Amino acid sequence: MRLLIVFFVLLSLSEKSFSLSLLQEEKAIACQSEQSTVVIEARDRYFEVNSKRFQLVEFLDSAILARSHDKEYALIQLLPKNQAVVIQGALLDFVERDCRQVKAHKVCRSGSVEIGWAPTWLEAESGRLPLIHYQVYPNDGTGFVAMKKGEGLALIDFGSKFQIVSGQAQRLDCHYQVN
Amino acid sequence: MKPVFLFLAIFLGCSLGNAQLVPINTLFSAESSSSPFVGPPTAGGDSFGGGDNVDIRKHTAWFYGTDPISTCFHVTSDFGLDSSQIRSQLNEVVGNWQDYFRLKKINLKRDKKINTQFLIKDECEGGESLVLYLGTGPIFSSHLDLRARQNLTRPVAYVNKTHVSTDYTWSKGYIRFVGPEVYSLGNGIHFPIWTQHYSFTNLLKHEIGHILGFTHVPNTIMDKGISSQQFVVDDVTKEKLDIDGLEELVPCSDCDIHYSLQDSEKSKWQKVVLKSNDEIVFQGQDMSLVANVQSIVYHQDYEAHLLSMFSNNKVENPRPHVVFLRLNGEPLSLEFDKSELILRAQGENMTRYIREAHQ
Repeated sequence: MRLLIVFFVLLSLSEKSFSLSLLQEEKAIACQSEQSTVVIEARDRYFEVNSKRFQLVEFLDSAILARSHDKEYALIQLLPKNQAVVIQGALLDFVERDCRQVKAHKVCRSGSVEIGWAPTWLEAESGRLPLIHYQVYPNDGTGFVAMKKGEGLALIDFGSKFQIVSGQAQRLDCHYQVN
Repeated sequence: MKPVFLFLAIFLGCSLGNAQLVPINTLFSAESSSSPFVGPPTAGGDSFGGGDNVDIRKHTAWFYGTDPISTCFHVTSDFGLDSSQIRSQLNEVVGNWQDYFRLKKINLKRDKKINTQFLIKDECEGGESLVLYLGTGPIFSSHLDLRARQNLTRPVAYVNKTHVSTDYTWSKGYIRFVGPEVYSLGNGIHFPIWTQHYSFTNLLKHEIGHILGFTHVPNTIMDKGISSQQFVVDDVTKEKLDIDGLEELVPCSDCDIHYSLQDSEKSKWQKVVLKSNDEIVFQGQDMSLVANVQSIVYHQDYEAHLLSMFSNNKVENPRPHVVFLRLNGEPLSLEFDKSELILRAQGENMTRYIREAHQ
């Protein structure tokens, strides 16, 4: 029993101490991949991908949807083990109007674009990509992030409203930036 | 009611006799919590009605009758177990629970028979009554997933009932296991690790237990802290995490008990019925007890009055003179009082066994 208590105390302390979090507003988070450096501003108002700034559009606790001056969108999603994935590209807005269930997956159409998703994959014009992350967001939202060979697709689902970010994707290693 | 509920209610409200499946939030208002996901992990819970308030006696199992429960699973490639391993473990767990229901005669005296017949399909087609999301989550009713999570602290697995028939005999819902290593213990250590010994199987057994109507019961497979035990005791014994564990999940006063005893040298045991004041003297240094089917072996160093369990793994016995064990699913207490070995069931003294003196 003592061991359990000690374990729980360490556990509760350790997550606060060691996991990267966007909810704290004191430290910037720096992420690095072979191609890119991403820095998330401490108060999450923007992040920069190779010095290109993306201003906050929507804060999702563990992810940030942002837009650049040239109207490119980017989603950065924190992953377990101090990693993150960033997807840069176009943003598609959907409403739950033209959607249908096909077996265990769902297909929605918006204009000429069709998006399909299942618990283990996402599919758009770029093809079907395997899901790498499922995330519960605040305010009844969920996120699905799929990625393969530099192509990425993220779906932010708030019930009747969907947002899809489609474009190039990369996985990064992150840490708190030391001032 | 949100539009997605209307959609689901219409789309999924398949006919079950005269009963209709309706979204659960039309029947219950789930509690919600704004607490962040910090603190110890929970074993997984049941979000039905917003808390772990399932009581087997109140007909709160998800499925009744004998129609097979259509079941499927989605698993991500990084989960750590592939489809064939999951199918195998799911079959094993379902088999464990079916055995337990037979052993405890759970359905014998019930008007509404709890359904334990799971039909595990090769592929999810969208109409299944029970879906397992392994490393992923539901694409429909995802807001209910958030609501289910909000009541739990760093959950590693949980069940969520999304629909229930109007006559309460059939449901729809899912079991969700989070992805591997999503939580940090610090120093680069992360959990859960689903490939870890018994990790997935035990949690699956726990969650299926919720679907069969069981609430949390300490020191059984339905222990709320079952996931924590995995991380504290690396080599936790299979027996300890068996359905009844160290306690009874369902008291059974009329179950048949079959057991036999033998020592580690395979010497014969003599069955003796003793009165309370009888005195027995053990001659041997070591003794062990072997259950007839499951080969659970207890080994005692008689001199030190310490018990240790030898069956795949080791576990410390919290009380040196008492060990709880399970024979064919029936829990007994085995007490050592210097010179006595007493087998008990339901607190009543049972037949005592003493080993014949060595020749």
